[in-house]
Amino acid sequence: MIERRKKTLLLVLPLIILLLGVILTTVLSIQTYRKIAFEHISAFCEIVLDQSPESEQQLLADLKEYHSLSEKELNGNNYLEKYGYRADEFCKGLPVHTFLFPIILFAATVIAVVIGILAFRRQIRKRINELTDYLEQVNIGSGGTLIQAQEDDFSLLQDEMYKTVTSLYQTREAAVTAKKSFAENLANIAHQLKTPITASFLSLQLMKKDTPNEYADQIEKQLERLNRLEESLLMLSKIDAGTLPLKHEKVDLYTVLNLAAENLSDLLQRDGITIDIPDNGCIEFFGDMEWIMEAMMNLVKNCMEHSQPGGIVSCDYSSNPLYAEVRIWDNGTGFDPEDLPHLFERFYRGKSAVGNGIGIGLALAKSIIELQNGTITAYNLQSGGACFEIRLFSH
Amino acid sequence: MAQQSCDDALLRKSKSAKDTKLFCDDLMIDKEKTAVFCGQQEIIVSQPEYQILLILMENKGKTVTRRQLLEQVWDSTGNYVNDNTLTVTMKRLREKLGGPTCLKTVRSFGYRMGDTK
Repeated sequence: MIERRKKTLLLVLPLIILLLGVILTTVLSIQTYRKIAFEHISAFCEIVLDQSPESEQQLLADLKEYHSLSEKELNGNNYLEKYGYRADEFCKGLPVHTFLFPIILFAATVIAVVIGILAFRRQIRKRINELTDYLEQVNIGSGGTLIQAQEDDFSLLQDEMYKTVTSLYQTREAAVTAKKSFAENLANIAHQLKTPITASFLSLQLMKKDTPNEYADQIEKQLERLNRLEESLLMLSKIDAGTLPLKHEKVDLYTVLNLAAENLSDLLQRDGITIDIPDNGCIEFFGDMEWIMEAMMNLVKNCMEHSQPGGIVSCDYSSNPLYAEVRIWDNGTGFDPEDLPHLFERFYRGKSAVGNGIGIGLALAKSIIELQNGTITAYNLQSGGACFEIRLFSH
Repeated sequence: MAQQSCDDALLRKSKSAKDTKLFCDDLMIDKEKTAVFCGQQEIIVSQPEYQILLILMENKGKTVTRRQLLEQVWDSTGNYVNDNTLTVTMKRLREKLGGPTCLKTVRSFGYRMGDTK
């Protein structure tokens, strides 16, 4: 209540001061006007009587007549203009305080009003800042609290904000739990699939031993494919649920590329493809070595699959203050223009897809890179090869 | 009695002689001479390259992690090095040895040497 009264006072006080200022200025100017009129008439009469003392009776009668005239009747009288006198030639050398006093009064009033308004606005701004800070903190995730001492115009707003934030928190928690349980279910399904696949593999091998059969190879191929699919499913479900535990440590790009190449060395040798990794020194970024390597392996594998035997897959890496960049390209025929927009879509199989892939490698690579604050783009080189460009941002 | 001690000495000698030389496929490392051979030819390797090869040969058939290599080859000498140095050294070693198939990269762990023939 005291707060409200204070605020009312803050608004009313400047108005009162303004009113007082106006009244005072008016009264003062009336008095000055009267004083000046009196002084001037009296000085004029003195001069006339000094020159001709015999006309005293006549002058006093005239003065009486003038005195009985009201302000209204005097208004607009410019009789003296006949003799060449003008209004602005009168009252020469008026004392300064005649003007100064009203000006000071006016200035004081204005200052009082301005200060009042500023103080009022500052109070509002302070409250808005408090609320903004609170929302900012909630957004960062530290979830601060607002302690309110008194009730004011913002109380309702603050109350509603509290309610909204709390319900958002609840919604988020529910969503995260749902996502996690979904991912767990997926992981369970994938895991359960593994057992029959492994059992089938074993039975198949026994069967191949006992009764060699051309269809057995077919079945084995399909089983291997099923196995890969199952593993990818497990990985994707973890990435989607955000439950993939990613490390955040210094990773050297040269090491990542080399390890990716070494892990693929069997495949590279089989297809007679060489991989060229220049040593550009140590360039580090923060991320998870294993997963970024998985992404690089998928990209190199893609380049490899689209290279002719004897081809070269080239890599390059560099960094600037904003990001570290890795480029991986081949000297094959490049991407089909129709495939380019869909390259990173899950289960998308391009027109020139080879082997018995399932269209998940590039999607997986993109997900992993994006999880580590990176971007990936694909384009065709002018020389014809396909190129992947990865940027890993440092902030 | 004398005969037995003589046998023991011989045994010890042959055992120690065997221990100073480690083999894996065509590769041979001689700890006494601190030298590396591929077949009959000696290969000149640098100090850290030799250390890495020695650790891998001594643990033939077992996987040695990158961390272990970093700690044993560099940290013991008081130098701090990063992943990059190990990768570069490993790559050079592989090139000098002609990309041997008996030196495998074990995904997510490190490296392992093992006879392939």
